[in-house]
Amino acid sequence: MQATLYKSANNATPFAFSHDLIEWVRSAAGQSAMNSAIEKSTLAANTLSESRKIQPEQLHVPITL
Amino acid sequence: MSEYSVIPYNIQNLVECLSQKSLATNEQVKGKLHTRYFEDYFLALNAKTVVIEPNYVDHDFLEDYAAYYVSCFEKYCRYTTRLHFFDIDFTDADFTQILISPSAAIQPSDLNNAYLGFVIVKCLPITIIGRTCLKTYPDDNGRRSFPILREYSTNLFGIELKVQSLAFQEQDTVVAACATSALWSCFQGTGKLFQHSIPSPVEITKVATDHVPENLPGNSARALPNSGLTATQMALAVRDVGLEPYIIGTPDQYSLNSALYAYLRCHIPLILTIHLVNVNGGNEQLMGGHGVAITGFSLGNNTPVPFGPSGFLLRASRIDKIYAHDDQVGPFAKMEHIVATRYYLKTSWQASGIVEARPWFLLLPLYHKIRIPFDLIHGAAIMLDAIIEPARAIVMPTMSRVEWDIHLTTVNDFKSDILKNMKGMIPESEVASALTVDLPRFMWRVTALIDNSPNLDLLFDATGIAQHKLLVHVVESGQELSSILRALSKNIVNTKNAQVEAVFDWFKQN
Repeated sequence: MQATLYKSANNATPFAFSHDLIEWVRSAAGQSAMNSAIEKSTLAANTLSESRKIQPEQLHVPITL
Repeated sequence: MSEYSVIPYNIQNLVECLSQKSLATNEQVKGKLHTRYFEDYFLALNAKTVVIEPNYVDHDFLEDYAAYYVSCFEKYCRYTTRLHFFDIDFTDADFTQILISPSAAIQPSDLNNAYLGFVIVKCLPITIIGRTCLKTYPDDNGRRSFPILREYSTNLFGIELKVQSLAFQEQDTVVAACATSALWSCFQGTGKLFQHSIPSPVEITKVATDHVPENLPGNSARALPNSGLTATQMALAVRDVGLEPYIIGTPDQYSLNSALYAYLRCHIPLILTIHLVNVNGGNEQLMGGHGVAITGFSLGNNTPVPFGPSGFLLRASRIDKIYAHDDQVGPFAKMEHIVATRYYLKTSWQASGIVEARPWFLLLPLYHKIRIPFDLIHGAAIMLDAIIEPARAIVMPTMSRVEWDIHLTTVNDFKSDILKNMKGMIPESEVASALTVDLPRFMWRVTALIDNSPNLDLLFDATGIAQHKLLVHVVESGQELSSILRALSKNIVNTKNAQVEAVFDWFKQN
C-alpha cells in the first residue's frame, strides 16, 4: 500500500522490526507494559474529564465586569 | 454632505478625536484602558493616518439606541463617527484627490492595501468604543494564529475597503455587560461559519434575560440596564441563534490550551470566563467574574509540556499566550499564561496589586452536528500514545517521541490542506485516497508528528455516536507509526476504548 516517495521523518530505517515487536508484545513483559499503559492512560483521561466538570451552582454566578 | 477630515495618527490626536466625537472628556478618554491598549496596538500595526467619517449609521448601535437610549430624557445622538486607519501617510488634500481625480497619486486600491480597519465612536459618556474591526498582529512566522477571522467590507465614500478581522466592541453597561459583548463577538464569527443571523447586543441581552437568574440576591433580574449574565443566561443566548452551548471547565493551563486550540482551529470563537482577583501582598480581593471572546493563540513554547503519567505530548501545550476580545481592554488583547504559586493569566487589567485572571470555564457555541466532544478523542489519543511509546522505545529508540495535534476540522478544510500543503510530501496513493474518500462534514483530526513532520493522520467522525467506532480515514504520511500500529494490531489486548479499537481494526484490515 505504501508508495516509496516518502522519506522517513528522521531518516531512520525502521522497517525490519515488526518481527521483534510482535515477539515483544506476545511476551509477558510486553503484555504487562500494554496493560499498564492502558490502565494509566484511562485514569489520566478520566481524571482530566472529571476536573473539567463545572458544579451546577457555578452556572448561577454572575459574570459582571 | 459629510464633513470628513484626515489627521495624522498619533495617540494625542486619537484621544482628542475620541473625546470630540463622544461625550467623554479628554481626561476620561486618557484614563481608559482602551486608550493605552490602542497606543501599543496601532504602534504595532504602524498606523500613519486616520480618516474621520462623521454621521455614520451603525446598525448595532441603532438597535441599542432604539431599545434604550431613545427613551431617555437626555437627548443622545443616534449617529456615530467612524475612524478609518491606514499605514500610509496622506493629507486631507490627497484624500480629496483620491475621491475626485482619476490621476491621483494614491489610488483607491492603494488605500485598500494600506487599510488597517475602523473604530466606531459612540456619542455616549465613557463607554464610547463601538464596533471595531482591526487587522491582527502579524503572524510572526506562524507563531501567532487567529483562525476565526472573517472579511469585513466597508465603503468609504465609494471606496471599497476590506479587512480580515472579528468585530469587537466595548460594553456600554446599559444594554450590554461583558458577557453580552463577548457573545456578540463570538456570533460575528459563528454567524458566517454556521449561517445564522447575528443579533445586536441589545437583542442578545433581551434573549438571555428571558431567563430570570436563580440566585436573585447575587444577580440583578433586570434586563435593562443590564449588569451581567450568568452562564445559564449566556447558554440561552447561544441556543437562540440555533447553536448548542457546550461548557468545559478550565482548572489548569493544559485543560485551557488543549480545548481552545481544538475548537479555534475549526474557526469557532469561544468564550472564556475568568475570575479577576487583585493580589496585593498577601491579600486577595475578588474583583468579579468576567467574560472574553477567545480569538487566537501563540505557539511560543519551543517544546510541548508533558501531560499525565505517560508524558503525553500535545501540540496545544506549546501555547504561551492567548488573544481575546476583552471589552474592557481591546481587540486581540494578550493574555499570558503565568505559572507561579498558582496558575493564572496575565492581562492588561490594572488595580492596586497584581490582577490575576483565573480561568473558570469555556463556553462554546457549536453547530448541532458537532456532537463528539474533544475529551473523547483526547482520551483515545492518550491511550494510543501510551501503547505506542513502549513499543517505540524498544524498536525505534533513536526516533523522537510522538507529538499529537488534535483539532476539529471540516471535510473541506481537511481536503484543502491535503491539496495545498501535503501533496508532494506524502505518497501519491495517500493523497488520492484522502482527496476522494467520502467524509463527514465535521471531523476530529488527530495528527501524530515526529520532529514536527506529520507521520500519521487519524480522522474521527465528529457527527457520530460516542459509543460507536468513529474512525473514518487514516493518512499514512510516514511509515514509522503505521508500521508499529500494524505490528501491534494483531496482538493487542482489549483496550475497552472504542476509538483505540477502531484504529487497530484499521491497521489489521489495511
